Amino acid sequence: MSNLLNIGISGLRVHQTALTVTGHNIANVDTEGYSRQDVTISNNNPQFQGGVWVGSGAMVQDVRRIFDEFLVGQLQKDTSTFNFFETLSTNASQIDSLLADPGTGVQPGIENMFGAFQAAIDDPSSLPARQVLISESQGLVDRFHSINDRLSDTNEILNGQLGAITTQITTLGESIAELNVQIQFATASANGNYPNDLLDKRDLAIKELSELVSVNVVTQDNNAVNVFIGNGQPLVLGKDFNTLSTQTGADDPTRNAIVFERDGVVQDITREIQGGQIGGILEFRSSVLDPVTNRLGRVAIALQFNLNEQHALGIDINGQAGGLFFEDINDPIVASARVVGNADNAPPDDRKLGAYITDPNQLTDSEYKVEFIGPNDYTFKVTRMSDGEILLSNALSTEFPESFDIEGFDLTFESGTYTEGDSFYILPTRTGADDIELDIQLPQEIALATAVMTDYDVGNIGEAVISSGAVYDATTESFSVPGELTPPLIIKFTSDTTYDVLDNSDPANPIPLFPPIRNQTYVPGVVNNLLPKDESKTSISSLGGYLPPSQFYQSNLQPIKTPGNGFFPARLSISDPDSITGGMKSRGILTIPAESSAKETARILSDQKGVTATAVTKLQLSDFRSDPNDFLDAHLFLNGIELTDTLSENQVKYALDYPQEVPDPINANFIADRINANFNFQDMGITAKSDGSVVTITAINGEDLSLEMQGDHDDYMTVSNGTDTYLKSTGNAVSKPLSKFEGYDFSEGGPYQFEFDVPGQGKFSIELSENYETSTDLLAGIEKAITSTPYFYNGEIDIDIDEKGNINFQTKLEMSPYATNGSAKLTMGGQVKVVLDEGITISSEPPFSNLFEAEPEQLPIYLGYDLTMEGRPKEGDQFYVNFNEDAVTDNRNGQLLGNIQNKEIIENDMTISEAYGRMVEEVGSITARAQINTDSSEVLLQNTQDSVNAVSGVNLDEEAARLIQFELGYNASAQVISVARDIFDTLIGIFR
Amino acid sequence: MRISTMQQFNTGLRSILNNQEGTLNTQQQISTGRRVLTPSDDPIASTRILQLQQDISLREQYQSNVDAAKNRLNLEESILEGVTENITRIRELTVNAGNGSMTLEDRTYIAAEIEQRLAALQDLMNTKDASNTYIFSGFKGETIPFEQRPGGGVVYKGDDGERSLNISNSTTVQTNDTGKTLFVDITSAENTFYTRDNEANIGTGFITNGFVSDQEAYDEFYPEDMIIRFNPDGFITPPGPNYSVVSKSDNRPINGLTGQGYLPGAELVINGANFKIAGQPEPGDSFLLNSSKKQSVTDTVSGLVEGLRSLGDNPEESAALDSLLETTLKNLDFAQTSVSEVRSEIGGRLNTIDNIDNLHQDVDLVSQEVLSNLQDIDFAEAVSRLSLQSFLLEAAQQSFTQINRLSLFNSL
Repeated sequence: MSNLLNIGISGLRVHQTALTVTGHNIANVDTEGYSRQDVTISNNNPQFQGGVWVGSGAMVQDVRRIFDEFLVGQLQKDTSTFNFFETLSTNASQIDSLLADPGTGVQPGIENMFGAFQAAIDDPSSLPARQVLISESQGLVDRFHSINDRLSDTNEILNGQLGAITTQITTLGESIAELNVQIQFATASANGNYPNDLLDKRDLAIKELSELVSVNVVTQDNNAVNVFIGNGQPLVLGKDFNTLSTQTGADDPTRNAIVFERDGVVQDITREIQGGQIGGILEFRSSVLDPVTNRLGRVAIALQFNLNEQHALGIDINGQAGGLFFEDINDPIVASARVVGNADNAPPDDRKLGAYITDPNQLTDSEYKVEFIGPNDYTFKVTRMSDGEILLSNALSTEFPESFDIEGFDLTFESGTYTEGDSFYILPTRTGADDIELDIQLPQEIALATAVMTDYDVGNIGEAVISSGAVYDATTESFSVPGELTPPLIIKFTSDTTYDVLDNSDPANPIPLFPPIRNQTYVPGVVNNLLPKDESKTSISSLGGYLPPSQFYQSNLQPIKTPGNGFFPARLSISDPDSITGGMKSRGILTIPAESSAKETARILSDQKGVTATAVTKLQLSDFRSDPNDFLDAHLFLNGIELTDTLSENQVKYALDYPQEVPDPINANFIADRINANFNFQDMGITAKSDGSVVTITAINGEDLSLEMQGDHDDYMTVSNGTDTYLKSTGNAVSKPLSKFEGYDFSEGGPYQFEFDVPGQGKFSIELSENYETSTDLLAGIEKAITSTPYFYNGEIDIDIDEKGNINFQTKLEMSPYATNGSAKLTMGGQVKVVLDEGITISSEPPFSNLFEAEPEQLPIYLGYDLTMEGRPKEGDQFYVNFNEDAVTDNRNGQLLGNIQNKEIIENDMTISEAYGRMVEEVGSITARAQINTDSSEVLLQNTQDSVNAVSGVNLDEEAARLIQFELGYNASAQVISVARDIFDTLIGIFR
Repeated sequence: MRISTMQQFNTGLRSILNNQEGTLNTQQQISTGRRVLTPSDDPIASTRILQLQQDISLREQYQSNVDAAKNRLNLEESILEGVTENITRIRELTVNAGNGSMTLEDRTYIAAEIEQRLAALQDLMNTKDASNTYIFSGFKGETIPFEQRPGGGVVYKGDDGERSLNISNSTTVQTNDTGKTLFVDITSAENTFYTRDNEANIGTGFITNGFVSDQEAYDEFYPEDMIIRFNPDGFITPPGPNYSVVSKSDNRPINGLTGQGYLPGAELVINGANFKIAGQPEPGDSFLLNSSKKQSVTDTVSGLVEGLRSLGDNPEESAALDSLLETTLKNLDFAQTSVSEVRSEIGGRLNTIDNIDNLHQDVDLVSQEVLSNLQDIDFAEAVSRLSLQSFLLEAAQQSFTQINRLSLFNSL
């Protein structure tokens, strides 16, 4: 009977517990992470009683939570994935709408600025139109800034979020570790029965952790769990946990890094960490924020670079060279800010590096890393971060600065100590949109005009049209004087198909350029480029014809001999740039034999690769005098051909304009006319020109010119090589122009100093301080001053003062024959002009040669601008090239500036707008993809959540039913006790 | 399948929220009229939208250039019409002057009218546009193109600048013609010359326009150029300002004219060329006299006026007058041709502009339509979608309340 009572009591107990569990379930219907619990009731062991096994009631075997371990794991994964995509898509859609918003986007700014350009181009003289252009350009700059500000604000926010999330992760790790301890203790003290609610709590903590980061959970035998993040970093190991935090990025200080700390060892796991909100943020940063910032910067850089470059080629409304439109893209401060030294670099921190943009078309949106990889302190490599490709492996030489061309920029090491292990991060485009600033302030300063202007002569007969000229390099000599073209040019057609380009500084007397541009071929019917192309060619010239100390005396007793031109032998060394060492590599010694003609020297040089040489020989004759005691007629021979042959009456030689009479003394006009009319000289390319007193004989192929003079002892003329040396005033200016017809008093005012430059010898200076009463005194005084300098020369110095008062002199040698005893001879050599291809240099040995200077100055031959012509010019047509003065309505440079809008200046296939558009599009795609992924991962997450809920969630109806069920059981058990008491009472009643 | 209470609530709530989101999105599309609100709504369409918007805005720029170019050319065309009228009138007067019954006095009256016409012509040649720049002075918009020259005549001070505007990606149209092409670079019936001061001069000397006074002598000299170069005073005795005349090609003195004493303003006749040099030239200064087969319209007319006024009625002078009138008529015809050539060119340019203009408008229409198709919403579709979505939302809300009202606890 006590048995029955006990059974009843056990039933009461069991159902009471069951009701409690049901109540607990009902109470936790809305508790997150709660798994419904279930009571496992089992029957007690039977007792052997009266030969049979009689049951002895029920007991609570276990209270277990209903859950599916697999589903819980799945839920953690899905949570992480969903949070990853959601974070990515939320952040990306902000950038998405920022870029496309007409109020903030760059696109409308670009359109407005170029629209303003068109208005200014249409009316270049209008200051209001130019002012609008400046305002619109500032507007565009502001738009770049505001977007960039938003992007960097976003980055700041992300840095903050990363900090908060890592703290949260650490806290969760800590509570999981704590729960591990509690669970182990509770399990042990309950003989292996699990503390369900603690387990739920731990699962919830792990789920919360997976919202933040993707985790890997491993359950241990002792009911503890280990939690790993990244690629195996243990956040929780049983009862221990480790710390996750953020710190300033070692490579890029603006981007915070995630660091994991274990046992005092700090490890940067930014690249390893995945999933969850933190993964979403990192993914957003690397796939949206950084590329967008870099690409926006690249657009700004391309715009800034191209506009500045073109703007510098133009001139403003006042004729001044176009300055900066935007600020200098390669300002040293900006350039050095593009390279960031790693925080861990070895001291001393004295390294100066810079990234100088050289070609925006080649720029990528990537970052780059420079690492000194050892095994020494000067070997380094450069890696492109976007795909990890090594672009350059090289070593520093000992000389700073040293530049290396990467992708569209030069990495320049300027100074400092570099050590193995140092690394640097290059962000060529990151700050582009922030750095862009308008430099131009005044509307007048916008360079809408082009510096050169052409002008055809109204007298032209031909039908050729010359272009107005286009400037490609404003740094050449041509534009060295503001407001001037140095020199202005005249293009003169010497025949219908050939032309000369001459220096037109004095329109009354155009002179050859140096290096000369003569006898150029013009092809009618096509577009001709009139000027040298920009091929970085340079040019030098030899010292020119050598005037010997004395004439050669040809005795009538000696065998006939022609004297040489007096040139020394020369050993020339031509060097090419060596791509391996970066230095120059000589081709060896090239020997020019003594007394080679200029033609021969030019031929030897022209045989060299990359070298073209031309030669021309010039000789001037003047001061013709005839012996007063006329005994013999003077006879003059040039290269063996007599110039002074007497013609019989009515005899026609060569042509009608071959002068009939030989004057006495012979004169310059006569010599010129005879040479020019002589077919032999025409064949030899020898021509002559006379201005009435001086005849200039020219051999255009550089043949030596040999003179022979026969006649009386006092027949006489002077010879020179035609080189005028001008004196430049370096002291006080004279009060009135000097004249060769009057004296000058140098004792007042002063000091009067002059300087002259002799190629091969250097500069000499003289000082004049005396009073010269007459012009003769003046010229003698100047001559004395010059001859007292160490200037070395042969012959006599002949001083002249030109019409404008400039002092100049020539060295001249007298030639006079020795009557019947012999003749006077002289041979003049020519000048060689050498044009060298890009990079080639030339030097000469031994020094003090009379052929070449030892280290001749190599002048560029490119003028910095191009001219084209088409149509049919006629001989004698002339075209002038001048500085474009007062050109207030010239819009040529403006058009070129405006055309930048349509020029493919990014990756060689995108305009600025296209590049911006493509960036917007890509952000749009990323955002759209992230949104789709968010939606689908949300569905997955909900499905899993539903499955979990289906298994573990509390259903109130179910619990209500259980309540009824257990209440019934409880009531029945109570009845069992009541029955037991009744039985007992009945039994007692028997004895009563 | 077992359903937990929380799940039941969440499912109901979720469908309400989803429906709300859809409704809101549709509502936004309807209120903005745009289907694509951010690029992520339709990345492919939004790229095309951006491209089309760029195209349209570029075309707007071109359109404003088209208008500007049209205005400029129309202005120039109307000026040139005036020029043509004036030249025609001068030509008529020239023909009248050739009437054998005219006396010197009659011709003086004609000369007076021609002079007025010339003044009118010069006014036209110096016309300014709306932005106050001279239309015929090339790039030197603020430099008066035809300036009175000391000593008579006018000289062209502009340059050869031809301004142009882009009116489409590939079409550039010239928007001005220089005074030089129109009025100076005009074929002359006879060889002639033009003079200029060397830009490098430092003195105040100047050379006058000059004219050919002896055509035969000048024809013989033609096409050589002359340079009058001033020498230092000491070049002659007694010292004084003096000059030499040399030919440009070889620098040799012409007719032995070296060291000529300078008399300011004296008339010089060298090889048939008649000109004056006045002012104070410095030694080294030079003046250029370039041969040319061109004569400006103003020079032609001034020469005519001069001839009408001075040539008398005697047989010798009337023969000279006849030849002058003949040359003048020819030259006026050349001038007329020069202007009409440019006028027909302007017509051609205006045609090009019109064609491009039409093309722009056609393309613009298409672009706008495509743009609208891409980004604008189909209202009928959107509104019906909105009503469907509101209906679904309502249904979700109602079913939520109904289902959740059912509970076993209600029956306990």
